[in-house]
Amino acid sequence: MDVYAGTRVECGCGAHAEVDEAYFCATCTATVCSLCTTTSVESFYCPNCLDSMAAGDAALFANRCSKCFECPACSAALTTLHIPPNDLHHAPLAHLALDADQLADGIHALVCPFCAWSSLDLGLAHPKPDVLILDSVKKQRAAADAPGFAALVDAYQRAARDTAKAAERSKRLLKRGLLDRNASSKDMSHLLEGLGSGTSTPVGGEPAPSDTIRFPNEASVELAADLPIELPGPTRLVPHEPITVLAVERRMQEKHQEMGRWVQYGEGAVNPPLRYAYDGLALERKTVIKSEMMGFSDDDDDEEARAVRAAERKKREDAEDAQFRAVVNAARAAARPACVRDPYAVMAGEAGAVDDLASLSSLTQRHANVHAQPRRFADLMPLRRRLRVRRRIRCNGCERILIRPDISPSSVKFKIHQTALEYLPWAELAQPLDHAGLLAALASTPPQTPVVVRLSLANPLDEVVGVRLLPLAGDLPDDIELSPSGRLHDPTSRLHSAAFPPTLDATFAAGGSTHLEARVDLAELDMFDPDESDLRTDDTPELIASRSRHRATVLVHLTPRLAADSLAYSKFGFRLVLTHAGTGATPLTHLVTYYVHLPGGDPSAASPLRVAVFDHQAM
Amino acid sequence: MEVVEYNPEEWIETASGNKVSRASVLCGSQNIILNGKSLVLPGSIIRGDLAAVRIGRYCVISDRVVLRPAYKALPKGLNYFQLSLGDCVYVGKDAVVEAASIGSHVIIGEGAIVSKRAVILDCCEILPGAVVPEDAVIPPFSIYGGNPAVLIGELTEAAQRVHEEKAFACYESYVPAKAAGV
Ligand SMILES: [Zn+2]
Ligand SMILES: [Zn+2]
Ligand SMILES: [Zn+2]
Ligand SMILES: [Zn+2]
Repeated sequence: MDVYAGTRVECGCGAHAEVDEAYFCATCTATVCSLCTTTSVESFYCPNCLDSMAAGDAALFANRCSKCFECPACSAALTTLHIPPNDLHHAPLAHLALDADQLADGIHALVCPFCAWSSLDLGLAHPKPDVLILDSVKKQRAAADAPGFAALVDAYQRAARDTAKAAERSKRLLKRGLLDRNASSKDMSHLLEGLGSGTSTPVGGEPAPSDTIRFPNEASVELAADLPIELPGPTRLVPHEPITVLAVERRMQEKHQEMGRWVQYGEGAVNPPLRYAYDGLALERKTVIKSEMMGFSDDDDDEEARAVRAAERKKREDAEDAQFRAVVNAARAAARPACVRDPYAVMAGEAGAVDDLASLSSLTQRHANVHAQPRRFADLMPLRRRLRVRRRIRCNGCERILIRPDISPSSVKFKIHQTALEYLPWAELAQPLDHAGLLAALASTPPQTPVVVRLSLANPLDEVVGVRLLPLAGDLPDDIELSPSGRLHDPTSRLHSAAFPPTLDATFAAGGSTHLEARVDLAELDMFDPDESDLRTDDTPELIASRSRHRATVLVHLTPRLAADSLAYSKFGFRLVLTHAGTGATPLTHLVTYYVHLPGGDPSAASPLRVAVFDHQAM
Repeated sequence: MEVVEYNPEEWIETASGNKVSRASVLCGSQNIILNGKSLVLPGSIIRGDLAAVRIGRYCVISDRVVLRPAYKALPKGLNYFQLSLGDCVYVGKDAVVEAASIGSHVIIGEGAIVSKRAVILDCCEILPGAVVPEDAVIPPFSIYGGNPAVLIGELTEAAQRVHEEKAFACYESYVPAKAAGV
């Protein structure tokens, strides 16, 4: 089924894109790869109920559907199950705070149709389905540390905004030529944050916006107190210090020393006050050892005294080690929340608290609910379904919109749809053929006689297209003129083409002139359409082998450029000139160059490649 | 696309161009509607006896595929739903489909299972071996895979065209073998 495998389109930027991932920009008259486009979100929708959501609502509901739930165990969509009163004796009702009256009509619960997870075990069930959904949302909110997460997001967004603002400002100043050395150092210090060197002290007393990460509410202040990360502290940058390569290097060095200490004593050891406490300790110890060594040479060689000294030193060292360990442990404890502080203890606790490991949740299940990250399977909450988006795609060269989807999430229609396949006629070999197969075919034909292969062409347009197939070698016929900006694709201009030039010449009977029938939309196609596979009366049998709707199979005559037994690989190319009426007054002409590289042959010739190059519009 | 030559005596070709292998099992064939130019390969089973099965144009029902309308258990008994496939649907070998509906331009991989009452919208790809849960809804341009099937990726905007050309080429590649000795 891999009809399109290995087929690429050459983008104007020189990259090769898979043909179904490329677009066609009519303004630039060029194929555009996805790297040369910009994507933005057109709309949000729920993949389960297929309801669209406005961007504001999507943000409000944290990119999750307001109605649908997904299974916290396997992520399938949950369904609301009604349990009739007579079946209630099967259900574990102990959790439910419902009296007999409420149970009279049975209850609703969320169940997973795939893994049989049920909200009953959480005590989530209610006679009314709406209340059930409300309760589920409430329960999920209660379990989540949403304010903490929101605070973090907020802080990062603020930091990003400030950095962008500063960059914008320095750009503006640079443009006006107003940026002096000092100002530049001040602005560039933002860029140094990534190196972990802290931020600059405000110069004029006015605090620079990104000096501290500010948190929007009290919950986040608490959070900040508990944060394991190193928050930017007082700066070690000298104000007005110009940013030089040396300065940056020095800061990198400092950072590396710090990292070294992390590796040696654990990350917690570098909490600023404790770090210096340790440095003092080490210094003291060094002095003691030094004085001992000095004293050692003065002393007599009394074995006993030496042993006593050694014992004392050992004792002192042990005490110091214990003290150091206490310092480091305290630092670690202060810097880490419980779960990170000692994961083994937590795991041991989990394993001890539960009878078997199967009752722990998996990492995927924990990450599906980032706010709560429940460790026990029994604590998994139903999750609201994650939203998906439809995208709008623009050409980077000219801002033209290439893709604009329909509003309805269930529709596959587009308001604007300019994929490469909408414009490029599809060309593929009608029968798979590799290098060895071609050599065999060459061997079985008399010398100087071309091998005939079948190439199937498909019309991409809904109008009849005039086709002219031309050999790669030689100039264009006189009646085809390139537009002023147009130029022919030079087969040796690209790396791959230059290293592996075509080894076969492709020629076509009857000047390669024919046409392709218009493409008819499948929805408009008559079920009992006439047998359209007959050849047209004006078809040359040496050129056209068969037709089917908008597709035609043409015969390509291949002649090796070298002796057949010295062919290292098989590659040929041809040009395709398309003429169609279009919507304007004059017919449109396009020129496309194709290369077909058969699989097999010289391994250095890389993977089989079929490349189409949209060559510019001809006039 | 590799040309497959079949023995015309082992196949039935309908007026609208459907090609149905005689080695397939069509239960309740009056309930099975093939809209034209679709292929039903040997060993496949279509349970039209349970409820209506509608298959669009240029579909491929591969070897040993089972198409079975889904049911819902009601107090009165089992209630079967119609199973419908759009145009250009390719169902890979050994797949089992109990969906309520499958849109157009959908590819279902080999050995995949589409569970009861699932709805797959247009332009989707279900990877080989995937298990689509019951009552699942799969929106357009999705690639689903795994057990249970979850969103793995998205098809590009050209997927419709790609799937269509694949389906045309696949239908064209099934040609009757010329009678022996000719
Ligand atoms: Zn590009
Ligand atoms: Zn929803
Ligand atoms: Zn589940
Ligand atoms: Zn453009």
